[in-house]
Amino acid sequence: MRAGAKKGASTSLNGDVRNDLIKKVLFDAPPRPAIRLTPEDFERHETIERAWKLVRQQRKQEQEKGLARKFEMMRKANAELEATSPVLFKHSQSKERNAVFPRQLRTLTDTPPKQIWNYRQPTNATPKA
Amino acid sequence: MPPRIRYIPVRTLDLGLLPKTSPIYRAIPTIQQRVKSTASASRNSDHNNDVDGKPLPQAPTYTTGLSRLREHYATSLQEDIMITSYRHHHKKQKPIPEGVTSIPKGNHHIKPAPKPSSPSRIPELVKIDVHCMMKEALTSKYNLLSGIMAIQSITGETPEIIFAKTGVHNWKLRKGMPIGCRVTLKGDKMYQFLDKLVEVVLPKMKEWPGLSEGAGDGTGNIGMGFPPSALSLFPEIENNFDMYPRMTGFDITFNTTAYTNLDARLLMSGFNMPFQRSSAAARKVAAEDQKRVQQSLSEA
Repeated sequence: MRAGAKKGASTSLNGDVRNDLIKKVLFDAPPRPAIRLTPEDFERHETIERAWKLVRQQRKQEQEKGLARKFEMMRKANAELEATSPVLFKHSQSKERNAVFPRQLRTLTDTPPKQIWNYRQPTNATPKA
Repeated sequence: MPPRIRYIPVRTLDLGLLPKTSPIYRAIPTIQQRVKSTASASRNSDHNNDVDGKPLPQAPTYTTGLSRLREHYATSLQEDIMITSYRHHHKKQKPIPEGVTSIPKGNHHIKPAPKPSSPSRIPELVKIDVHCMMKEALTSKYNLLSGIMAIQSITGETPEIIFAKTGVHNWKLRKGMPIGCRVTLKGDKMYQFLDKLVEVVLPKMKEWPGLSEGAGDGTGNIGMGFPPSALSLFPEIENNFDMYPRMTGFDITFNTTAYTNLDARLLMSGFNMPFQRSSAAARKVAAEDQKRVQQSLSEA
């Protein structure tokens, strides 16, 4: 029991004072008042939102065009291989089971890591004693 | 005359056929004129407003528009996943007719048939469901508050409370009892949560080799569970650990647009989610690496 809470005479939920605070924060906190904008401010706000949406839309369209182009080249290459040699095509279609990205894959960051390259990383090519 | 002030709209209460000029709209302060705008879409969305239309006490979601993992997916992962998950010949399966929820076939149910590969159908993370069920809520419903607060702190969104659909006498569960909470994360919030998970929480977890290599529900979704100790690894909870009366476990479901387990695992591994066969295999790999390091150091 938390220090300060009276035994047996507690008015807090389930005997814990922290539950009172949590309940207040979650359910009893007053809602924020609605934001009020003048028509000019509203127009500015809308313009900015629309401009950003337009930028995102254009980027997405470019991305999708690039993907569609690459996909079409891949499909053509597969079709050509199939027409050229059925054996080679069959072998090309077999997939490595449980193919995953390598664990060392680095997600993009704003700044480079402290250790740019680990020269002492042991590889399969390291000769054993 | 005072200048006409536009109110940023909240979701209007549906009063049926009552006209908007009716004096009832002025009488109830929370109801305001609905203004059609592009910006209102984000504020009117479900995660900003409570069930009855009042704005939630937490801050509205205005982000900078920058999302690290979303950009990582778009630049690094998307093309590779498109190529790796490409299938030149589509296996035609009998499609499940519209409106049918499940077709039993022996011991299992037929899953929805995958569609042919297409540049617009690349496996992508759609949403993350964080769900917590607390057994302590059986004895007192106020025990659930700790779980709700914890999930809100982790995810940044208030979870909805889950009430029991049926009663189980053996567990003293009655129908309608609040027993758990759940929140669905989409978009930038989802990527932020995943980022936190992968960079901060999972590396700190002891003796966790990674998700199983067979993980997945068969239709492209992956689920994982966390013990109560994992909750204290989140930075939001680590800082004021004492304010939470009870630590609870929770589970996470990654919902993707992939059709198969392989594609789903490929996608999640791109976000640095580790996959491992078993802890025995992980220990073996760790031992081999250590041996090689020692050998290379002795040679140097």
